[in-house]
Amino acid sequence: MTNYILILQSHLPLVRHPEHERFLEERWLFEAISETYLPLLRVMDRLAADSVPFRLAMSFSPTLSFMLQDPFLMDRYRQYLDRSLELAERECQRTAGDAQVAPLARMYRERYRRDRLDLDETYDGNILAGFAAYAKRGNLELLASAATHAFLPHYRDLEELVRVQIELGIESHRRTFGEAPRGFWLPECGYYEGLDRFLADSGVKYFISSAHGVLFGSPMPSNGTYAPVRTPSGVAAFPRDVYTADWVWSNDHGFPADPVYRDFYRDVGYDLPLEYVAPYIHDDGIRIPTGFKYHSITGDTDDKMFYQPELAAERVRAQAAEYVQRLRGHAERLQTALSVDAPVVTSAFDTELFGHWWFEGPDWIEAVMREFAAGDSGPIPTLPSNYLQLHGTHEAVEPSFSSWGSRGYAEVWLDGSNDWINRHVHAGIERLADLVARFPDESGLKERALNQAAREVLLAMASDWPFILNANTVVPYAKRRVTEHLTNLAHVIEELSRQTMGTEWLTKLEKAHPILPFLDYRRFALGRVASVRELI
Amino acid sequence: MIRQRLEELSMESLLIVASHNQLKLDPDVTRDQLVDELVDAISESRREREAGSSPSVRVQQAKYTGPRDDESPLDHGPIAALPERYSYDRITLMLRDPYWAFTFWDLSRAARDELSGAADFDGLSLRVIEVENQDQSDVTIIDAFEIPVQLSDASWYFYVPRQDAYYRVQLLARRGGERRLVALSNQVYVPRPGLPVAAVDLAPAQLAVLELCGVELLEAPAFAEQRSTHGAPV
Repeated sequence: MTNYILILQSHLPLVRHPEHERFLEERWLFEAISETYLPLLRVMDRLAADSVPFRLAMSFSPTLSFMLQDPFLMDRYRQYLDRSLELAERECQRTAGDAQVAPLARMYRERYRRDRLDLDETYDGNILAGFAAYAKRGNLELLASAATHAFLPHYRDLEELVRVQIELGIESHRRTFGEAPRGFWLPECGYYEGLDRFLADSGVKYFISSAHGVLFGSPMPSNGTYAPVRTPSGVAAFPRDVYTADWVWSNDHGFPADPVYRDFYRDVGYDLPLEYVAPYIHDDGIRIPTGFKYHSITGDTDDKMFYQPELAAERVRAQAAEYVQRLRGHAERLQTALSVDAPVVTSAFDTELFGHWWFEGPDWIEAVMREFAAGDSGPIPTLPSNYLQLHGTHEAVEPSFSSWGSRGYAEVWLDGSNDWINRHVHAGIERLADLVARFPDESGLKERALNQAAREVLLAMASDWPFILNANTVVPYAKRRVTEHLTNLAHVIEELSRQTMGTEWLTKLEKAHPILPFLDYRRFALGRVASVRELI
Repeated sequence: MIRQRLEELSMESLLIVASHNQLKLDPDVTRDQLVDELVDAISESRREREAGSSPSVRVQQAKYTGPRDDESPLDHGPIAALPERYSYDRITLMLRDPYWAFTFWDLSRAARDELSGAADFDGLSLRVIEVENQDQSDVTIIDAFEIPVQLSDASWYFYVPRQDAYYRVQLLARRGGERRLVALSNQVYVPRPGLPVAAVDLAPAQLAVLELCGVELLEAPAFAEQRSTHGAPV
């Protein structure tokens, strides 16, 4: 019988600006909570209430986990909800006579009210507790990810840093969810030959690979992307299935592109008069999305139709049925063509696809799980660990350098727009290592400064910054973040060298970037790399 | 929507948006012409962004909400400058894909001063070397080629001639007809750019499995002969 694994990878970079009263980029988190994470928890609640035996795997990056447990950011989220509720009230009044838009304004009001209630009453300010509860029940398997979501192939020459990213990611997961993870989500599915060794050393049992990472490996796997392979270090690699993923997120014909679904771009933040939306957009009067979106995708036109939730709900159910039906057909072909007894379709997506990008996405997941439960001809939804326990790995393959980015390698994170980052981040890592060598065992203020220097370097390594530069979206912010983290490192070096480290400056920085509170700067020694260079 | 939004903006704001979108303007440009040019530039930029992005990248782009292309960019104040160079002799090699590698290097101030002051200094070169051994401390050269670079250069993309091979880069100073090693990079393995078996050598059963895997949907082309889709870095 064919198995099916749905795995969602959740990540946002640390965006936390206590120095500003309101900060636009903090909305990335708030939008993801309201549109994706809380709706997914509600999906799980409904499935559990109806005793639907759903199975889902999810990873939470350490930066996202930190933010979701951060009292400061959760307080900012409450303020965001309050502002959204205020706009909802105004929208309910403004649209009261409009039979098409008024129900949509009321829908958003209800959603934000529910968010407020769930955050504080259901989850006591920590929504990760909701996911942890489903993990405990066996419905959900939680994977760890790298400390600050670094694109690890960029650091193959600095293997200690790759180890640190993995080890801190695992430690963060253990502290957040109370147990060590079995699986690891490699940021951007970024893999290079030999990376499996560091995963194995950290106790990781499996990771998710891009499809071509395994197909192009040695030898070519006999079951294609439909069975986990055993890497040279004994870790299992589940290759992502691109065949069935295409049904979901193809830009042209994927389910989310259906014309009846809610349009992502059209928003009252752009459509309504500036004086009306001013309190809900950027303080400088720069228009941004408010979350109030009243139109459906409609088609390739600016003349969008109003969104009709009932139509969209019908389409969700129909597409979920179609998806499972297509999976069954595909599973039959797999059973005939493959040598493995229990093929597995590994469907891996960005969590934020569901809800944030594709508004109806969480409902679609719910409908898919119900379809699985209602049928008796498979595929069987399962969890990666359960699959490995029952079926193990079928063959040994050494996966190849790869990612799930455009054109499959490092091009997204290494091009003319962002390659300058590498000189400075690599230098930062080396300078930090020098610092560790100079101050191998400090305590008190110096230890705090060294730990913070290590945090700053880790934050500069995040794959988000080169990604944003490549995508040409919020470019000034990405440049600022890389620069600020490395400038902070330089400041620590300078102050330690002059023995003038100021408590006030350090405390402010610790408060601004307090991730990985258990971090120990002594882990950042680069002895081996230095010795290789000396040989030269 | 782009045009409608742009038409609401003041000329000053339009010029900021134009600068953000790296538009070169005629000094006598009128407001209407500016709006037209911006509509074209923004639409083209969106089309390019969408066409060149994998699904995972498109979804990820949506996570980082910011002002649209037709809005003024946010200004969070001046950004501190990072050093242009670092004062050590070091070269690092990174792999972009099986055909293109990126290398960046630094020269210590002392080395730079010495080279620029030497009468026999004839420039720097990158010597790209294919090495035999995976052992980082051993360098047995199989093949090599040289790329002349300027003292002012600090990074370079180069085409990788052979795959399933190990590479390093030497930073060389050319002096009086001789080449002196300034720095040697880390070693990088360049993988095969596709399936380990040529298309013609695949058995029917293997082809059937690949078809089930959606081989035509892979982010990277499955067969090496399709390498023309890999353009030079921009």
